[in-house]
Amino acid sequence: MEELIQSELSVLLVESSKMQQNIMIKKLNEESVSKYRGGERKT
Amino acid sequence: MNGKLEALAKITKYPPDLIISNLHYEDGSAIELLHTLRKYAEFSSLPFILVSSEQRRDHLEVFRQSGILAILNKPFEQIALKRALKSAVAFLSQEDLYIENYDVNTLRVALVDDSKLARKAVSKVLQNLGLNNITEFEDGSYAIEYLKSNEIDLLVTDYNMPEVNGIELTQFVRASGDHSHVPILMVTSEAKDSHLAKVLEAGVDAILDKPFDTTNIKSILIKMFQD
Repeated sequence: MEELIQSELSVLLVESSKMQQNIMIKKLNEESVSKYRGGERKT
Repeated sequence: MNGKLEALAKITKYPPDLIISNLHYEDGSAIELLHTLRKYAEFSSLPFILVSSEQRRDHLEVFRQSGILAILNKPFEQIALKRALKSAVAFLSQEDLYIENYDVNTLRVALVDDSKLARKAVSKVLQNLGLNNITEFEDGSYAIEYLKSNEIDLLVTDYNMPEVNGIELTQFVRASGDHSHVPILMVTSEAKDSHLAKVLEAGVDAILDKPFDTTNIKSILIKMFQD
C-alpha cells in the first residue's frame, strides 16, 4: 500500500542546476515516484 | 525547473503532492518560495523537502521553524531520500492511531509553538493520526493560563519560545497536581546536548527533532501512552 502511494506521489523539483536536476530525477526514478517537470506529469 | 517564479506558476497550475527544492535559485531562495506558498490556504501544508549543501545549523533554522518535512544534505545517500519520501507519504496519509484503552479522537491535545508554520505542520501530522481535538498556543505562558482551568491528555511543545519556554512549561505541568501525569512530547530544533539534557530532566517523555520524521511519531505516541 505504501509503495503504491509512493509511486503515485507527484513531486515538483525546483533546482537551478541542470546537473543536480538530473541527479535528483535519477534518484527519484529509482524510488518510483512521479514528478511534474515543465508542466507535464511524468512517471 | 530552475526558479521561484517558474515554480510558483507551475504549482498554481499543477498542484503537486510534494516539493523538493534547492536552497538558492537564480531569482530567489527556497525560503521565499516556501513563505509565499504558506500564505495560500491550499498550499499552506504542502510538504516541502529542502536539498542543501548548507551545513550551518543556524542558517537552516528558518526552514526548521517553517514546518518543512525534511532537510537533505548534499550529497545525500539514497536511504536519506527514501526516508524523506516515506515521511512525505506518512504526512499525506490519514490513518487513525490505535492506542489500547484510548479513543484517539477524543484525546485533548495542547500544541505550543511560537511558529505558526511549525504549529500547522505538527497539527496536520496529529490530525492525520486522528488526534483532532487540538488547542494551539503561541507561547508557554498562554498554555499555562489555559491549563489553570482546563484538562488535557497530551502536551506537544516547542523548546525555544519568547516568554515561557518548553522547559518552564514542562516544569509547570510536572509540578501541578492536575496535569503532572500528562505525556509531554517536545518538538524542537535545539541541538545542544546540555539543553536537551535539561529538557529530559524537566520531565519530557520524548523529544523529536525539527523537522521530524513523521513515520516515527506513531510509535512514540503509542509508547508514551502505554508507559
